[in-house]
Amino acid sequence: MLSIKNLHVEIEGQEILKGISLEVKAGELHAIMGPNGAGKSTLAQVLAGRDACKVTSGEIIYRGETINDVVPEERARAGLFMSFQYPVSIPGVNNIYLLQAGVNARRKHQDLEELDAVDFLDLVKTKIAQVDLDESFLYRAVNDGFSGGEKKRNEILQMLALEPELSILDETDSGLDIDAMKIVAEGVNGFRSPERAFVVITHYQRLLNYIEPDFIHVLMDGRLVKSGGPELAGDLEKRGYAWIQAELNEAALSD
Amino acid sequence: MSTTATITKTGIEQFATHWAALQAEEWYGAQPTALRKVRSAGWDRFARLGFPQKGQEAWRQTTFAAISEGSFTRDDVGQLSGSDVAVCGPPAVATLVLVNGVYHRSLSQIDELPESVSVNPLLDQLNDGTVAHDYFATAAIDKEHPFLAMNDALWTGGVFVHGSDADGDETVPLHILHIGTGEDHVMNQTRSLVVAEAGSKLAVTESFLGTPNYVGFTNAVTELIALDNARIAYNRLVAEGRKASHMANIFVSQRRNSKVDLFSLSHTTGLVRQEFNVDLMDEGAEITLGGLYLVNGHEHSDNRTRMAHIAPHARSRENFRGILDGHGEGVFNGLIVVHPDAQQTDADLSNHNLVLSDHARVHTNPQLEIYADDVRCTHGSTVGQLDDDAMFYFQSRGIDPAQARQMMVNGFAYAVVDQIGVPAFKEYFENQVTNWMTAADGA
Repeated sequence: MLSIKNLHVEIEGQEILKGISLEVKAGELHAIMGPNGAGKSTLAQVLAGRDACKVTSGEIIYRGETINDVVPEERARAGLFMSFQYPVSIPGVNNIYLLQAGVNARRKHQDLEELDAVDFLDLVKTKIAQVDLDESFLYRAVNDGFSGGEKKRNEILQMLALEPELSILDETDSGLDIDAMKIVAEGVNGFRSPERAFVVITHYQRLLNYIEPDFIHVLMDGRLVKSGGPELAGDLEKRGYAWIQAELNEAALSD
Repeated sequence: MSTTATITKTGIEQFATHWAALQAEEWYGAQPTALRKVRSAGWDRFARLGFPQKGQEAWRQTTFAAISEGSFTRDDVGQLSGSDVAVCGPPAVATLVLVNGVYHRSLSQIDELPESVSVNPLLDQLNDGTVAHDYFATAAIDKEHPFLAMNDALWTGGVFVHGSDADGDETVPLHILHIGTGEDHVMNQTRSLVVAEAGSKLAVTESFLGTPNYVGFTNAVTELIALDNARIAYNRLVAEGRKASHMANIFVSQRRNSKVDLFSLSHTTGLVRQEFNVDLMDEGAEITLGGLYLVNGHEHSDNRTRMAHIAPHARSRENFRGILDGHGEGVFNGLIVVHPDAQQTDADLSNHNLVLSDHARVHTNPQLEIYADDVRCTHGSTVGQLDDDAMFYFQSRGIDPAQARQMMVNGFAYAVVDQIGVPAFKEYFENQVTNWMTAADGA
């Protein structure tokens, strides 16, 4: 599904990602954890195609094709979705228009007929119930005046409506109370399938109590420094990130 | 010609000729004495004031020099048919049509109006003792304004809208349609008077349109007078064409507990200057003043507002937005004046601008002058471009940049168009905005 090869990324001339390699297969859910400033959001954004994140070397291969130079909207239409850590509010644009434009852009790409307003409304009503948002949110300006939790649930709504093959969730748990986190987790869990893959980026381990990862990777200072199974989350919960840094320092000294 | 003796300023010679010609016309002499006095006084003021000069603070960013240097005709009434006119404007119970500043009965359409509302050509309504006579030129009191002075003297046509019934609760949408036509530098001096008597309710759209290739100068004055508990919804559209210049003075005078909703849209006009003067004369008066100016090409649009809180406990909400593309230029000057007695004033003023091109410019200048101590006044203005974060957000949902741009620009514009309360008018103004954007995308 996704193959990242020795990826180096700069933002405004500063190197943020310093050689990332990662394989994500269909059906898998990978969690990427790390301290603040490690480059987690940059990784999410470069996968989604943000042009401020410049790939200086390495490759991003999505479903067999190198997408380094593919614009964000084409990645999205091909089924790559990113949930924003800080969803952007867009005054004046109704939530439902954004959703419908996105869904129809993807359907067009898939050679499916575009949905008219009535059919789209039917579709989106079933999805919005799953994230426990009131239908009135469809007619409000995108994320405008939404609470933190409402914004994140709206991101999950977009995921459910767009039905991506690869979902990258950037700190979807930040700013959520426990009830909202459960709703988000249920949304993701219900959406998991052998055809879909997920990269879940999180600072804290607590989301992983509700969404069980197949693999956990630790991102520090622009590198994936440790990988393991779900049990790694428990270690990080108990011991934080400092011990990994200590391990790394020790390894560097012994070289 | 006796009138030329009063000329002291350059650039007004041709208008002196029009003034002399006007006085020689048959209908001129038939006007009531009081009206002729207003005209003469107007001409004397204009002759004294002359055209605004660049050095004057209020005219720093906008010049009508081309008008003072141009040569205008007054009588080129082109060929228009009822079907040309029918497609212009929102659905209305009455549409009164003026072509180049002159009322045309044959083009106008007046269905059966309820007794509570009347619309008539203003020139017929100004006899001594009439309501129009009583209120005419009572709100338009900016006597040092050269274009008001010019209009006082030279106006040739307009409409009087009168709401008289406190019981009429139904909304009767009325349309005043000014059409400029002809390519020979047409002059268009219009005057409208809208009076809502105590408790009455009026809904008016006044639009200024030009036929294709129209070249002309409009100098319009509109007075809106809302008496106790009256409501006026007044929407204004200016879209006269790239070779048109439009000067407008709009005066609003409000009495106790009256409510005015005023919305202005201007686009596709070479040069626009609109001045909105609001006097909140009595307690409980309330106004929403909204505007949208869309400029492209080398167009220039200047909106100027003066919100005078004269009495206590009045409320004003002012919100102008501009979208500037091409080499267009926008100007917004918004002034709130709170008089010493106007305690408990509640006033908001905002101006937001969206600049879509590297060559477009906008000047924004909100100002407060507060002489009372117990008031709530806010003001703010912004000039921004399309937000990169928002653009990426759209793209990441599969939407291409062109569509994203259109959705965002629409959203920015509709946030103010949305405040139009009369549904038929709102749809019309929304379509105006959509058509402008579609045309801009194709350009």
